[in-house]
Amino acid sequence: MRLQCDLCPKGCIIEPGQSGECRIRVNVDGKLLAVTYGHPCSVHVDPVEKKPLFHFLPGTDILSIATVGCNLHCKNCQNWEISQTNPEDTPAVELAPEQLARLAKRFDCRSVAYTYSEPVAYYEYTLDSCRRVKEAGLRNVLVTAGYINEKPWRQLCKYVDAANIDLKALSDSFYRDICSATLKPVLNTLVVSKSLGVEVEVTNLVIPTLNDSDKMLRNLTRWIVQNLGSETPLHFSRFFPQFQMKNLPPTPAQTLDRAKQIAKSEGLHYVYIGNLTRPGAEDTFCPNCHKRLVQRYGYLVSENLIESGCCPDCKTEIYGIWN
Amino acid sequence: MNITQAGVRTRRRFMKFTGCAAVGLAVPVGWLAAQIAPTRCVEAVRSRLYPGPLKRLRDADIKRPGRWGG
Repeated sequence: MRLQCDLCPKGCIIEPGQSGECRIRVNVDGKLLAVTYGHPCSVHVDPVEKKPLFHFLPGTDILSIATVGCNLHCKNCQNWEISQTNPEDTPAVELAPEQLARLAKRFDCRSVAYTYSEPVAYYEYTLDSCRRVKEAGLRNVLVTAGYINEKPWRQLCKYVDAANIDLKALSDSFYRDICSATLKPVLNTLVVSKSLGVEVEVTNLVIPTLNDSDKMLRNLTRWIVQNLGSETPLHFSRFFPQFQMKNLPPTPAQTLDRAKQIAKSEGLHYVYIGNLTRPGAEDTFCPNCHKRLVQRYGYLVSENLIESGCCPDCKTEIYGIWN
Repeated sequence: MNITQAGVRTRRRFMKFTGCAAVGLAVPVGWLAAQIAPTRCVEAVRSRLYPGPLKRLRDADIKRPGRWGG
């Protein structure tokens, strides 16, 4: 019996014995099977700044997990060795959702991140783990491309505290050509997440010649301001040539500076530059009095002056989850 | 009168024939479509068996920050 997977907008029709595009949702005897459930290939303790999340418990560690598989196939994927591989070829550990919270607590982590590959692809593992983690009094973070249908996303968001969602470009042709996806569902995921109270941060990987024009950057930041709000943190991330996109150079620092300038001029309060270590580029400033509130260098937080989620001087509320 | 009655009879016969034909076609076509159309599902069954190799979960590996982005 053929199956149609309605988890993500791809709607893969899966023949018996075959998997969907994500490689990990398999039709076995007419039943859709999540074959990586409870079997992450990566389990690590990371600084939360690495996700990147800058407005969520700064300076804390986060237990980060991933199984293999992804429903997108970005030509520039930096984690392609786990996202674009088959579970048959990749070693994994046994880690049931009920063990996850215990493991996080043992390593002094206050939250768990579903990251590295694509938590949407291993949806059932993410969903069950999020429930268990929440019951244990910890928090959940998703790092995702946000390519999922609205109904399952709403279901998942009940247990999610924060998410870093990629907005790769405000261009459907970019999504089609580079990522084998489409733009509209991603925009919907962003809007729905924000409306459900998830702390949303957006990452845009700036790739030379593909999405680095003033017009594209301006359109993207304008959309964020108009649809998510000017308080939404935006991370411009530096591209490095890898996977199927080794023909392009790394993003010049000036391009990232220009992107930040454009985003600020469009009214975004919190704009960061990632994958490029330079003083001040990752610091958080009060949007009202411009006092430096959080000082970062790489993944280290050297100073955090935020008090009860507010600027200590002018008492302006700073968007995020701070304790 | 006879012509009109004959006309009504003809129309009724035609309507009856058309209705029967529509039902007779719709039922097998619907059945066939149901057989061909894939079963739709969102949530998958949680598999307990991993199809690939298994490795041990070691504390030293967990403590080390992930080599992957994100």
